[in-house]
Amino acid sequence: MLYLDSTAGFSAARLAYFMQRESSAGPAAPRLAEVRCVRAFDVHAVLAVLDELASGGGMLSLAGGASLRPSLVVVDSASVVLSPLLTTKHSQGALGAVHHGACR
Amino acid sequence: MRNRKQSCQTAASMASKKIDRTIRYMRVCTRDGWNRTNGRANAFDRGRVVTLRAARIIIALCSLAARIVNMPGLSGAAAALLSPTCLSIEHARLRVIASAEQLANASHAHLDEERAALLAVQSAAFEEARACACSGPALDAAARAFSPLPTGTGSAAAGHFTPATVTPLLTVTGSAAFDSLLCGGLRRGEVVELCGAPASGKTQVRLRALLAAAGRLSLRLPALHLRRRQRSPRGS
Repeated sequence: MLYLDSTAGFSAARLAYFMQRESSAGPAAPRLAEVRCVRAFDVHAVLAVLDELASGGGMLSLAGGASLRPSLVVVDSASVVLSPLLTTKHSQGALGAVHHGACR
Repeated sequence: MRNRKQSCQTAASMASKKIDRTIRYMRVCTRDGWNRTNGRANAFDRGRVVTLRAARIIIALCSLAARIVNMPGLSGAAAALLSPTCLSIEHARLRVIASAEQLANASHAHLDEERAALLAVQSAAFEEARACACSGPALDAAARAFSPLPTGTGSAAAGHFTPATVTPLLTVTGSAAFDSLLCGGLRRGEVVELCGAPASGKTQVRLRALLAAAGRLSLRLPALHLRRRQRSPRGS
């Protein structure tokens, strides 16, 4: 599981809380190890991660030489990285968003 | 830097094409009351989701019909549904349905056998999508609509649409209302956009889906937010 965090809103403590509250068997720590969080705070960083996933056949290289093949990718959130580009002064942001399929 | 940007744009363009091709792109809206009400049946804006899904299926079918009978005017009518004014999409949907029916009636007279068979199949799929746009079979109709155009004769072409292609279910999200909107849960190759007002519970739904995808949560969970209000370690 890959969580692309652009808002710094990811919280392992919150995940552990959910896990402990909802799961009845076993400790939470080994299960949380299946979730990897990658922080990307601009649109180019987000697209770089997605590009690596796309070009690597779903594989993502992590720090320390490890690799990850996520079955679920959560991007939280797209609007946060796109909205700074959308201004009334320049049209590049809107063009980029349309080009990337973020809005129609 | 430029190469990286170019590769990013290429990947994004490919992803966008994949979304357009598979039509498994859904927008789910959370409401402000997600953390404050019971959050089960009314946590998501069901009407808008259903309307959007129906509209995308109609777009797919109309595009298919336009390719079959070579009528770009119908594509233009379908493209009107892609306007940002999603809430008035029902009106446009009815207009496109009328256009498709007129087109079908007018074109039957001078179509050859193969095209007539294809149009009949398209009409059947169209009616199917109209009838079940808010349930699981709608995804099958959309998948059939986006399958490659057959090149055989009439009967062979009609047979091409018979088997329904259903993407395997990846996981349930742990929320009955959310799973219902997604026709059972998250599917492989599917893109789900979750949008909503600030503090409406978007991140909570994402985290919960993340845990569910890890296969560690029970499939029948009570509403998380009810207990989260009392004992959550952090606010939404």
